[in-house]
Amino acid sequence: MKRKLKSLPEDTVEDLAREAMVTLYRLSRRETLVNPDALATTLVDRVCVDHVRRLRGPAGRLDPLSEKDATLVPPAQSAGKEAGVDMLELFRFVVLEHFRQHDAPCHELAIEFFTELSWSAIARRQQLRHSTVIKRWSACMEQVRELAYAQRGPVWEWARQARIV
Amino acid sequence: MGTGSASAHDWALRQLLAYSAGLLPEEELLRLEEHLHACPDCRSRLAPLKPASGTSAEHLPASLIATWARSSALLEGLERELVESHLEDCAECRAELSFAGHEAVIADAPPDRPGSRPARPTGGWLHSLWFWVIGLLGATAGVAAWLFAAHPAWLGGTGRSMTALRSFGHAVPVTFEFALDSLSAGAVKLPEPGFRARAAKPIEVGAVTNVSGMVFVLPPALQPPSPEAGERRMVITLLQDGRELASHTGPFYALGDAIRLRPEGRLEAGDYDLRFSLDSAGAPGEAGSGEPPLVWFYRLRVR
Repeated sequence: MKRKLKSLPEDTVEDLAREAMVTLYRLSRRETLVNPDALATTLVDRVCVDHVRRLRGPAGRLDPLSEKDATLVPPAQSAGKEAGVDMLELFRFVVLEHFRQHDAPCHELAIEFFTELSWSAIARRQQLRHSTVIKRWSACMEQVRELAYAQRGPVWEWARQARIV
Repeated sequence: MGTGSASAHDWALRQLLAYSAGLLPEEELLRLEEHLHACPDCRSRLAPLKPASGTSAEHLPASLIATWARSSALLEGLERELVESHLEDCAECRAELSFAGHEAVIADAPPDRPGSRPARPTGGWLHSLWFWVIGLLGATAGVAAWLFAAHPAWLGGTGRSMTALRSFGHAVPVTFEFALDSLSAGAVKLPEPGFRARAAKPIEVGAVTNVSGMVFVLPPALQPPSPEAGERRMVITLLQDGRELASHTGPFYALGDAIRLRPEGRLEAGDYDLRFSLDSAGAPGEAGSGEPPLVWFYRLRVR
């Protein structure tokens, strides 16, 4: 982790390492891990990439996939910033949990999209027109947009800052 | 890459995060997916935003679990409730918290976090309005009490309502939100009101919870017809058996097309009255001067 992200504060390294270990633990409870060392390395890489994205904030641009050994450069203004929750992931979680409790069809669509990130793939699988699936999702999204305007808290704040609602 | 496609690519780069959160509007979704189809660079930037293989966005994010003590304390309102209810149901997440050395209990929110602000519809005027309204809340209670005491007939109720109002004149946690989109899912259209009369037939509104509250689309009579009319003051009150549960005073123009009533928890089943009282024209902000206010009642039946 320290090779991948130079000059990380100790606390941040600890938080990121814990995050990678939680994911490893999560995976180990769902399936038998064939090569845990390699998986741990992949997860550490991923956590570092995610950390840089989070430091860029909700309006930051996304990096293309980098070489496995490439050093990542955190944004200059983020020096000393501690690791925190991934707001994109928390946002997805909150949306899914809301739909799970209140709207089963939207929940199903949301799960598929957050896993695959492609409406055209989902449309193909469901044998629906691309525009039909997107229309259905837009109706679901209306509920979320309403929540984002009416609710307070870091998740909705993040969404508003990202100007995605 | 030509200038046109370069600017399309630049546009797409700015939308990727919103896309991955599932929140692009319909037209932009179609446009972005077309671009993604032809753009390996954008696809490669999007790839790291897919959940790690074998994990699902349905569970608490690993980053939240890893920084639980610090991060969970920041959760507020609905997001806090959703995390809490998920934890009650999900043994996996509780086990992961325990693995990370945390108890499956959300940390208390730090009081008065700097930088936090109430989430309201955007727009400078509305922002200022909220500050203005908060300033008026104290005065409102006194004015409303005076109105009810001086003009019991406006209530359209009985002396019992008056007594009840005086005895129970405290607000329970119910808030009103304004200037909403009248196309909100599940919104109830309020009928055109009869002046100063209780609506005879209760309006069935189903369950009213904190999650989505209850959105009411206002009839034309309750929508400000002109900026001048908008200067008038509107008092909205929620009552149960004549007892005031919540009240809000603000300018008529702030109502918009629809309002939402949001209780802190779940609104108890039963009948409620939603009362709108609009100051007469020519008496902006001066209760009791000139003509009496116009008062409408709606009877709501909550499941």
